[in-house]
Amino acid sequence: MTSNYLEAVRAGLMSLKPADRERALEALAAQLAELGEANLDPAVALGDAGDYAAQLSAALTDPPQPADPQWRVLGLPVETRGPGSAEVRTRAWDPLNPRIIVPRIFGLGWRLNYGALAVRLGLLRPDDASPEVFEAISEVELRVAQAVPAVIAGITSITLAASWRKLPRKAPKATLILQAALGAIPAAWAQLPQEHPEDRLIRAALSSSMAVLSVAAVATTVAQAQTKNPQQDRWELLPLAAVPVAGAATLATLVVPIRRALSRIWSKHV
Amino acid sequence: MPMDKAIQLRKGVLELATLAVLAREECYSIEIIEHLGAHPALAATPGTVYPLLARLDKTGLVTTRWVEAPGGPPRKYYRLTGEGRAMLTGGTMAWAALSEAMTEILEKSA
Repeated sequence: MTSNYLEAVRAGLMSLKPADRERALEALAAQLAELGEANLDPAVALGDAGDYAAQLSAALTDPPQPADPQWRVLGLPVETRGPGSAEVRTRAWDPLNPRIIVPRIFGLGWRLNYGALAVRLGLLRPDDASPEVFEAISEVELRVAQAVPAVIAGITSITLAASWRKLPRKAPKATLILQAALGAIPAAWAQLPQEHPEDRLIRAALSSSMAVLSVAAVATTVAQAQTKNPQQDRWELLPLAAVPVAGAATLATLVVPIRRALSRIWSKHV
Repeated sequence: MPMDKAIQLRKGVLELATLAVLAREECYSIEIIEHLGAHPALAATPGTVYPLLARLDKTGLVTTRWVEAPGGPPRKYYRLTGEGRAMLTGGTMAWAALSEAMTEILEKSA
C-alpha cells in the first residue's frame, strides 16, 4: 500500500526538478514508514495521493527562481544577499538552469553559471548532479576539493611573505596584502563546516577561482613594481589571462568529484 | 471567528512554529506533529506538515539525516541549519511585533 501511494505521488510530481522530486520522495518514504509504524493509512493521514502530490508540488515550486535577481536597477540585476545565502550561491552552479549568464551572487551585473557551462561543454547532463550523486562523493574527494583554494592561497601568501623584504620600495604593500586576502579569505570560508556535499563543493569551487585571481593580482603588482619598462611589459594583461584559468579551476573543482561519483554509481548498476 | 479564517491564520504561523520546535531538538516527522499538537491551535495533520518540511528542506532552513531506529526502519531526522536559526530569530521578532499590534487593535475594537 505504501509503495503504491509513493508511486502515485511520484507520478504527480513530474513537473518538479528531478533533484527536488527525489529529495521529496525520499522524505515521503520515511514519513510513510513512520505512518505505517503508527498503523495509519497514508490515504487517511495525507489524503488522496494525487491531491497530496499537488500540495507537495505547490510547496516545492518557487515563485522566484534562485536565478532571479533581488532587484533590477536600469535593467541591471542587483544582489545584496551575497554568497552567505545558499539560494543565491546555487546560481554559480545550477546545471538544471540552461542560462549560462546569470545575475551576480553579490553586487551589480552578471556572472557565469558553471552548471550550465558544464552541460554545454558536454561534461555533465543537467540531471547528473542529483542529491544521490553528491552523497556518493567521498569525504576524501570533498577534502581534496576544499584543499584546492587553500593550497593556492597558501602558496601565494607564503611566497609573498618570503619575498616581502626583497620587494622594491615602490611596491604598494597594502595593495599586495589586500590582493593576497582576496584569495585567502574565500579559501578559509571554503573550509567552514558544511552539512551538504554540494554546498562544500560550490564553496570550494568559488574560492578556487578567487585564489587563482588573487595569484594573478599579486604577481601583476610585484611584476609592475619590479619592471623597468612598464610600457613594454604590459603586466596589466596578466589578470585578464587568469580569468579563463580561474574558470577552469572552478569547473574542475566541481566536475571532477561529480564525475567520479557518477562513475561509481553507474558501475554498481551495470 | 469562522473556522476557515482560523485555519488560514494557523497555517501562516505553522512554519515559524515548526522552526521553533526544531530549535529545541532534532525530531523526526511524527515527533514534530506531536510537539505542535501539544498546542491545540497549532495541531496539524501530516498532510499539512510534510509538504512544509519538504519546503523547509529545499530552502535550506532545515537539514536531514537518517538515524537507525530500534525495531523499525531508519527514521529521517530534521534539524535547523544556521539559516533556519536566523529565519526563526527574524520570525520571532516579526511575530512579537504583529502580536502586540493585533492585541492592541483588537482591544480597542472590543
